[in-house]
Amino acid sequence: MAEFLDTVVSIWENSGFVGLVENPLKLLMIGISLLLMYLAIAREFEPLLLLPIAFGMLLANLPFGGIIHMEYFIYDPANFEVLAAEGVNTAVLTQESFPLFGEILHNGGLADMLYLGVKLGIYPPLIFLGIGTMTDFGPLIANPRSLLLGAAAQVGIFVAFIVARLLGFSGADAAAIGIIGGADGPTAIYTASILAPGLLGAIAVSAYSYMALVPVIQPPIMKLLTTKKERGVVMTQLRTVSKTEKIVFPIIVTIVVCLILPTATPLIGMLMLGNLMRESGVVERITKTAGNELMNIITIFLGISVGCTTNADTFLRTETILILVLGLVAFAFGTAGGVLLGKLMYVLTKGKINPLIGSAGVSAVPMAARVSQKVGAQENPHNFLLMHAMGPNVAGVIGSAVAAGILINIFR
Amino acid sequence: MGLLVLRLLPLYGAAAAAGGKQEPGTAVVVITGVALVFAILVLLTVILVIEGKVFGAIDRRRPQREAKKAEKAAIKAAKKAGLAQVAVQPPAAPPPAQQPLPPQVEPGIPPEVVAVIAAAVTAASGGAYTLRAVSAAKKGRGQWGLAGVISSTEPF
Repeated sequence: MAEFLDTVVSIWENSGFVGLVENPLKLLMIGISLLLMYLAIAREFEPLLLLPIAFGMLLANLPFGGIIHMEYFIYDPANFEVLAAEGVNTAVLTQESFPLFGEILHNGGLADMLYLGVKLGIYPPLIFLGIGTMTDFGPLIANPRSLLLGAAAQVGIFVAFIVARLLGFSGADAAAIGIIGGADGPTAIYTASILAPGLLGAIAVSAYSYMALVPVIQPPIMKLLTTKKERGVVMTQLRTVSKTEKIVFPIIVTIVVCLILPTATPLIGMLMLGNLMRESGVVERITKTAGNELMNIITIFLGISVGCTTNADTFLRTETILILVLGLVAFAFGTAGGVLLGKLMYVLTKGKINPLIGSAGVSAVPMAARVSQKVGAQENPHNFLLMHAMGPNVAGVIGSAVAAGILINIFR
Repeated sequence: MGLLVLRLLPLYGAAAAAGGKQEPGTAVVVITGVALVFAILVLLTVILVIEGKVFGAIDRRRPQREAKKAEKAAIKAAKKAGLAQVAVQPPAAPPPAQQPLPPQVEPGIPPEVVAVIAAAVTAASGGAYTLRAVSAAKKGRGQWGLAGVISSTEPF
């Protein structure tokens, strides 16, 4: 009987319940993960990524699961005690020693291996490859001025950067937070994994939450900054773009951007490779794989591993709340930047450009373009702005990757 | 308020040390970042405009080139297949000249406009096409056109 009781006590002591009692904050994290799952499932907030992120968060916060060992990835003297207990010689550890690849490969679990893809900057470019296979740059090529709207919408990144610096974040952390304003999940994750790995979870959650909220955040700003007359502008039909132009475009963009900004090469290079595969029409099989199977697999890996980085100690901090607020600031100013340049173009072209297409410059493809279409259609149901807005929308993808390249170049 | 002003100072400051590496000031990062993003995208805009003009010119010349090619091929084929026969046959009598019908013009369109359109059509087609009818452009899309646009843009 005593042996039976000892066994039961032992099982209880090794169970997660004891861990929850020891660290009740984990319960709060589990609550947050359940809330995110609700948003992903019931409200369909970017469910493809938010669902695996939320579940990864749940797994990481179930005590003693050991699904991920963030102490192997991030240099933090507070973790040295844990590392020493595992037999790591902490006396020789420096910032450059991390990630501890030997420890990851010998003692790492599932999420440790998956997180290597984030840490080494592999997943976001592969997602960009898939995005490239699904993106039609035709509207952008037909109306090259769209690129300027894509640039203006990146203003939100730099406004958020300024505010983050004022709030006391370091330059690298502020840069990673600012990138949320690019409304581009993979770019935000890529930048955060390089510049601020400790904030990765909060930045990813913030980026994807706001991307899902684009239809809620953008319309009031768009309406506030435009007049009824401006919103009602019907734009002329775009010219037809030849296949040759579509094939030449990704090659030119890759050469120009990557020569000027080599740090943007992984993102821009993969985006343009995917697009070249699509437009060339000669590699249909691998185009389909990159846009479907590969992208789906990477999405699962990315979601789980990012979710697993969010434990109570790193997530339940004032910084997370500030990041959520700064993400909203970035989105709002990005939208305003695009619309204001659209207004300037409206004046310069004597009313030929509808300023509403400027807000689509924040990326979030194709959601932001859809918002431009909907707000425009509210003024004139016969006005079809969608294809016009797709130009700034895909320009925003290029713009945010360029902005990320610049910030990585400065702060790495 | 005083604290906020103190915090604003680094915006204009030179640099802050971070992990041994000199980190540029906030203002420098913002100005450099915004300027570079715009510079790169303006450069791409210029390249796209040039690309559009180059390929536009190529596309405009394509029908002429193809017509010339077809003409050359036809002459070659004719030479190969039966030039002798063609030479011995008496020239066919020219078909009776048909008087072109006047174009049907919607009431309300002045004859000067019809004349301009006819001249434009003749100039653009090299005399290959004749103006048959002129009617005013309908404002907005027709119901079928509208339905088509809605169905093709709905998935977005």
